[in-house]
Amino acid sequence: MSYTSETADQVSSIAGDKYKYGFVTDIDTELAPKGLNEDIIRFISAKKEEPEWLLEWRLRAYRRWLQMEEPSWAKVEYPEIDFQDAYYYAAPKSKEDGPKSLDEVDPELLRTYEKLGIPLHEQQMLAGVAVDAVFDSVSVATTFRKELAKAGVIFCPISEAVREHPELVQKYLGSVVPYSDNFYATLNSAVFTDGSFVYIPKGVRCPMELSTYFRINQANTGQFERTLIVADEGSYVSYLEGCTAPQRDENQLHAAVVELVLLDDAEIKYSTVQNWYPGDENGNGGIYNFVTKRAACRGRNSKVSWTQVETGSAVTWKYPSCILQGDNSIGEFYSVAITNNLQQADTGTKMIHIGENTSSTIIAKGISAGRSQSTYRGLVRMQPGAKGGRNYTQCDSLLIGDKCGAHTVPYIENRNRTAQIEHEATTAKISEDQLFYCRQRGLSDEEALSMIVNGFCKQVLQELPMEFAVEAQKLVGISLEGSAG
Amino acid sequence: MLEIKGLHADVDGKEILKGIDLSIGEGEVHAIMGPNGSGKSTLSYVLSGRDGYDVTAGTITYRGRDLSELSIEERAAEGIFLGFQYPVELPGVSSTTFLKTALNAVRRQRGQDELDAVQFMKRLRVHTKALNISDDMLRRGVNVGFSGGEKKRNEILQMALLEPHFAVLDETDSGLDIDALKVVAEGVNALRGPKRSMLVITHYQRLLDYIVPDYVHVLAHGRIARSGGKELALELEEKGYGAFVSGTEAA
Amino acid sequence: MAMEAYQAQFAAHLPKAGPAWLADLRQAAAARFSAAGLPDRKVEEWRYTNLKPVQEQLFALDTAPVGDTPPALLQDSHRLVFSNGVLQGSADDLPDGVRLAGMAETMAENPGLLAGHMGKLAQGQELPLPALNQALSRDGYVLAIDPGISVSRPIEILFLSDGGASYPRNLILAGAGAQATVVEHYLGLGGGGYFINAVTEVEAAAGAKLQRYKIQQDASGSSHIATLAGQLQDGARLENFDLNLGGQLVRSEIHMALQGVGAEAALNGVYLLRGKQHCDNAIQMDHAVGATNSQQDYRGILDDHAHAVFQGKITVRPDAQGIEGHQLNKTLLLSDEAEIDSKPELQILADDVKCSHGATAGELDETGLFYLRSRGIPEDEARQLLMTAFISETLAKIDSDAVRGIMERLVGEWMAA
Repeated sequence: MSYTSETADQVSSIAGDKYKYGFVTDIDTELAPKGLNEDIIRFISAKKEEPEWLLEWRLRAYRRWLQMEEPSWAKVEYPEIDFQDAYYYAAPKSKEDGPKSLDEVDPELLRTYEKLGIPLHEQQMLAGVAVDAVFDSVSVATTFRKELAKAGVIFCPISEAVREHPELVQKYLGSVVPYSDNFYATLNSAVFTDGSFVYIPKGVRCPMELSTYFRINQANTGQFERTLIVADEGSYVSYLEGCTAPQRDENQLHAAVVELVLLDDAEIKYSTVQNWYPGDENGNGGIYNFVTKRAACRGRNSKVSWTQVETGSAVTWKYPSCILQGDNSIGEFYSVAITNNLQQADTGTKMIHIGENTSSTIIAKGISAGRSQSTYRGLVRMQPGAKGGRNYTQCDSLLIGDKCGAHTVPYIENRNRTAQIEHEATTAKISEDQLFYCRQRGLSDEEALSMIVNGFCKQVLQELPMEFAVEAQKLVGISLEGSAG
Repeated sequence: MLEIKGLHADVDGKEILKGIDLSIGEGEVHAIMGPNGSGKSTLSYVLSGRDGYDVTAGTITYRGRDLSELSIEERAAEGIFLGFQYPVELPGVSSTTFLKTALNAVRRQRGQDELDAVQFMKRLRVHTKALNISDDMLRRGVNVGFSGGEKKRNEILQMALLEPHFAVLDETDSGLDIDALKVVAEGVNALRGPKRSMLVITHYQRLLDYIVPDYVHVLAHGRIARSGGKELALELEEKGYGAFVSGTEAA
Repeated sequence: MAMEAYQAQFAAHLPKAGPAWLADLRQAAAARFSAAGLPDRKVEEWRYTNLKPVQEQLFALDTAPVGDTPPALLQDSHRLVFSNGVLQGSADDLPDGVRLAGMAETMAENPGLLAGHMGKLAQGQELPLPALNQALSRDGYVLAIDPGISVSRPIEILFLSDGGASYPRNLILAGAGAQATVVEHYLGLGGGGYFINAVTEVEAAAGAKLQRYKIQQDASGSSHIATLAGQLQDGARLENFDLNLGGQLVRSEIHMALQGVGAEAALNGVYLLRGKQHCDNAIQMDHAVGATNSQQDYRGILDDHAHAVFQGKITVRPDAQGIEGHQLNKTLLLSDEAEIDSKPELQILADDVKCSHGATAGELDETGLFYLRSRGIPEDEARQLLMTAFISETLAKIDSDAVRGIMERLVGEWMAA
């Protein structure tokens, strides 16, 4: 089963069996007024039937957020966001409001899906078309559920987890990304509406890859999902995350928080293919993707691996990080960030080495085309106790065309004599010789470009689970369309 | 097959080819010899349509068509193949993927069905065996970490797969020891046929002991200074380029 | 220190006489500094360096000259000596077409030479320390070389200090095709407790070739802030080398603009620190036009509680095509309390570029050490050998044999201490 059809089942299961599986779009028809205040937060919390502690936590976050300023250090520019001009609890468009058939959907969008090899019924779903036929595969979800339950794995919407597994949620929520962490994470803490919760019990190797499929469907809404994954001692899970959004003229905010907790000998592999709507070639519309992702390797010998392919969004602000606290823990960050047209991406990672013999690897590949700006920003810190710590960072940028920018901003901090940090970075333009060679063998300029860029990204793409990698490779080519020649 | 008339070409505004006339018939193998800087590689790039190699005068007619209308990849699809003097490395792009993509791109443009993985591998095996190309080479990035001999064998492999009508081999002998040269030459000779023409560019006569041409031309200062049969190569070997070079300058 | 104290110094020292442009320049600088103040760690460029030692104290401006002048580092040089910021004596045997003199003296005799050059490169809101220098500077050196002149003997400038504050303001104007080698030697006597805030502005016209070497051996308790601001025209080349050995709080800032096609800058340096020394090398390399090259290689060894910072930024402006820019920073840590913070940064806005940076931080290579010891070399000696080799790779980039020899000697002395 390919990743794309898996996600189709996933999404269909949401519609057919709401609140049961994966990321849930709330089908409530009630609509809170636009804007953000304590009443809205109380409303959200009440709708979700949350316990008092969680409401208090949200309110603390909100009060803190009021005193915070939007960060300005990233190399991204966008008009000021009016946080009062958005819905924080909005019912998604009902089926009647969406396009009735594919004929009403922007053909440009459909072509993109076609190129991705997404089957027709799934195209309909992605385009926000109300369809019934595809929502009949509930049985698949049920099968997964049974299998997961047999292994003791909990995989459910976080709002359900709050009700069903309050002890786990209360223990770990905000323990990696505290509510006061940063502007967007604090906002998320105040208003998050849903997201996924995963718990892998001791010694369990999750029998299948878990995947969540995110999309922003509704206009004028921000999306604030919150993901929490707890890998207990000796457990393993591979988690996939895919993102798309329909094409809209206005910008939309996506401010998610992902927290990963790893106990002794646990391993989490977290893969993301982010293809939010990037805006059109003139920079109209597109998602503001301001995401806080962090993993706490609390246990000895724990290992976390972030792999991301970022091709979408108008503005990306994202630094999946690893706190390597347990001795011998390992953090990895593999990233491809492609920007085209007027996209801006400021992305990278933070590797905080605290425990002894902790090691981290960073492989970041940035590709800039059109008039876009791409920045790698990364921190590697060896704390005084990080005896024997190791980091290797390789960070390469490729420029396609003379109107784009590629920037590299690493922070390398070593406070332990026995720790070793090695950092390499290069920036160069796409090779004229390579393009000529490929075209002499009959490839079109776009095929040649896609092939060379895929080669450039190979080290990262090969970290993705197989089906995901295939989709990511296609996405690389599609994202660069119009930039060849 | 190929008819070049009064060809002038500039690189960076500097005239390199200064009036070339050359006619290559079907199934013929022509050799172009000449000293460094005479314009040999420029000719190969002009024929394949590389950007920055501007034809300022003259015509190139290939199988009855004016080549100047065609892009690089269209020429490739029309059956023009350039064996590179310095094959380009494509890090991260596995040789197999590259070969399959190229072959199918060409087939598509020629209106032929694309090959699926099984058909392709079957076809590939035939050639890799003949050219002694290991699976390891196919798995690696195109030309990445290849020895000089491996790179040139890889070029011949591509030529065999793409089945061109007209192949330009630019200094295929450079960087090869005698054993590697023999393997490559055998590969080239195996591809000779009544419908396939070749233009072999070389600095030394040595290669022509193994790939025996029908005609030899001496290129000097952007013009063909002399043409003759294969014996001309031997004469060159004996006398050096000096006579031709100065002769052209005087002209 | 409260801004009022500085303002009192400005009031006392801003010029009462001299050209109007100079008064304006210094007034404006005083105003800029008053508005900005000393940068704190919230400013990105200062995130790793705390100016506390300078903030807490107001240093006197008039300090008596230091007693004896030590011998020159270089044989057969043109030499100027500044004592606590003020020129003593003059340089002799200068070839025709070369002016090497004090800034105060030049301002009195030939202000036209300085107009439009002084304060041209080292200014702007983001540079409050050069502004402070501009407002309070009393002296410095001026080196002006006529087009086509090559100064065959090296030029050695000694800044000798033992107290107070000094604000050397230096200017190098190299005419087209001119060539010179300049060594700035900062030497401290006594325990320190003084503050140097130096600025050197360099303008190199087309084809000029300059070698500028700085050897910093300020006293262990002193604060040393230095800014080099340079602009290189077509085909000009600057080789700059910073050897930082002394000082308690050291910041060496370079703002280099490659303004003409074919311009090239090699900015290298070595820092050897122990005790509680802090040394911050902050470099901004600006490829303003195409076909320009730059290299940076900074290496250091940190012992005890030493803290080193390297911030190197290469900027390639839009349409500046055909660029090569490379940057390397390597640091050895000898103690558990030492710290290195490195931020090698690339900001690339053109596409035909070859830029790279690399950084390493950690202890000596154990394999190398083992290899040497297995050949019978005692551990201490093996360590010294490896450390020397590590630093030598950068020292080898110094073009001047004489200066390289001096630096090698000083590095050797540091290792042996």
